[in-house]
Amino acid sequence: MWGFLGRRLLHSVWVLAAIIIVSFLVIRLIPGDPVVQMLGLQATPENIAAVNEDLGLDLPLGRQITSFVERAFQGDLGSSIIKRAPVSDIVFDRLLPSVYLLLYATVLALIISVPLGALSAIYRNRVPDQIARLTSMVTFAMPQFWLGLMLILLFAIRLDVLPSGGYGEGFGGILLHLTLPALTIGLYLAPQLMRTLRSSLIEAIESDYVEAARSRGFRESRVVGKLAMRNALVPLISVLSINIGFLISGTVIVEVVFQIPGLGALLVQSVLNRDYPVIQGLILVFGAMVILVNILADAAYAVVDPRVRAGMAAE
Amino acid sequence: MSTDAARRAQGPDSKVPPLLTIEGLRIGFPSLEGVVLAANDAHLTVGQGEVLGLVGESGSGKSVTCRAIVGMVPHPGAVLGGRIDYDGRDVLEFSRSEMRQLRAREIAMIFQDPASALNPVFTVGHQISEVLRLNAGLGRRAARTRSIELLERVGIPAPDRRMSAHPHELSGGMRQRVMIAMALAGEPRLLLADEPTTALDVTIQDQVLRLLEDLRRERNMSMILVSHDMGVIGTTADRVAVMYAGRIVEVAPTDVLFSRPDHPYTRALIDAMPQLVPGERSALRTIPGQPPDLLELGAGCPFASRCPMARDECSEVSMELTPVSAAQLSACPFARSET
Repeated sequence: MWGFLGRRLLHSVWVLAAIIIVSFLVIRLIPGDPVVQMLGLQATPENIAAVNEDLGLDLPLGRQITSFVERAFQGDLGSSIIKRAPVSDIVFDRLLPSVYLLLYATVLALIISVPLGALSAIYRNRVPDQIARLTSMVTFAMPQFWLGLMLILLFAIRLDVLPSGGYGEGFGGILLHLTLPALTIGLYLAPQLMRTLRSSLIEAIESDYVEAARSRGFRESRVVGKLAMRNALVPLISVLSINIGFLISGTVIVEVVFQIPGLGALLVQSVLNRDYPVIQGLILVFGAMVILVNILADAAYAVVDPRVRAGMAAE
Repeated sequence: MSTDAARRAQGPDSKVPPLLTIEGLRIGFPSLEGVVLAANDAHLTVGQGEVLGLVGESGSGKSVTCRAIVGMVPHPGAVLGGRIDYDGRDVLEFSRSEMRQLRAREIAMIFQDPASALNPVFTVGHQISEVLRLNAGLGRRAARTRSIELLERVGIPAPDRRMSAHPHELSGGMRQRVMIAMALAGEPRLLLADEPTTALDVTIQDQVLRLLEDLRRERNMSMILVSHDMGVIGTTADRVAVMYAGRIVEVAPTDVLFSRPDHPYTRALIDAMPQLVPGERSALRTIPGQPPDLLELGAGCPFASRCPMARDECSEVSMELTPVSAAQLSACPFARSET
């Protein structure tokens, strides 16, 4: 298994290289000149040329890419054109809030979806299942910005128990400030997880090995909660990892609604400013995180299902 | 009298009370057109230490009858009537927890397809130990030791190494042995073996049947062996019950059933067994027609439409099991006079 994961990690270097090259080219196809943006409309052509030369933007594209890749592998992602600070510092400052938000949202989504999914599977097509499915459909269908605002209205304004936005200090403060945004994302994520778990758990509950476990007089809680659940986890891991990969760059709206200084907000700002190095750095970080989540998901499959482990060993 | 002969003689009217008695069992499955009766007034007895073979074609109700004993009639089926007395108590009256106790301590089951009846994500050792810890109350270490003993007893080589194997790493025969080890873990008095060899190669079939027979002898366990294979039944069972369209049509000691079958359906089943006689070529005999639609069953004998001895009275016959000889019961009142 470790060998397999090691090889996956090596492969990911190539994936990252491809991401860098493609994004490098795509960004430069977007109309709009960053130097003009930076210097303002009064800038003279001489000024613009000087700054272009200064930033290396006058070099041929090939040279720009090779020097970028070279420096990227040394941890230097260049400097922001607008902020005049190293991209790695800017991105790193914004990385943790986004990661915490996503982790918190995932935990909340699991806390909500696992018991509900199990309940739905056990009482399939009966009243508890119908209620769980209907409610999940409703929260899934709500747009995130609206759901976020409603949560602010209820918990921050009416009840006044949670802050309406921002990013606190210390573990407790951060936890408190991220609760509403994490809940917003969690309520979007939970229905998908719940439905996935419901159907995979139903399949497991109706399987022969669960029937056999019942024939041994095991309690239903053990039969469903342990013996069937372990088998139902693989699809849950897939759906979770796909969604996390998507949410890494998809938390923009929530970060804006709740004023969280995260990567999503930085991305929007950088695109508006045509801040190439920052956009480039963000794409690299998003790519790396998606790859990491996928490798973690592979590791999780292997932990849960021995047949996957065997397949990895065979590869 | 040898113990074997004693067992064989122990029919329905023996002095020793049977371990299991099923009377008038009716199991129904609701369908759009009405209730399908998978078991229709079925009667069975299983003596202490006896192997009862339950034979019949697919859909005759043998599996469902077997499952009803441990309260596991598959949804949406349900027991509609009758009694299932185990050790003097009607299990149909059991509460949930009594039923769990019955499954954990008294009656074990092995299944047709060991590949799907073992949990794919847990090791063999974990699965056997779990039964021992939950049902026999053993500690972790004791359960492990006992699991290795059980694996060794069912003929698994290098049992201590096999403990950490997952089901997909074992062959079909080995998996069925593991299932048997798990069934034995609760020291059951009755083993329900539902087509235990159907999914296995012929050579492995024989080994598994022999293992079951040895274990039964060694533990004086009773067994119901469900099969559609007359060959399997003939080599393993002490007594045979033949099931057709949810009804038991004949019960007899194995040797009597094979040498002097009474019910025309039993005769047809035995005639349909492939014979290998060197130098002789004979066509495989089959039973013409289809099993009846369980929805359209009226009164009378359900086999009448396929029966070579059918006569007008068949549509009014009561299907009650009546003695042909000391230990042989048959539902056909006409066949015996025609032999």
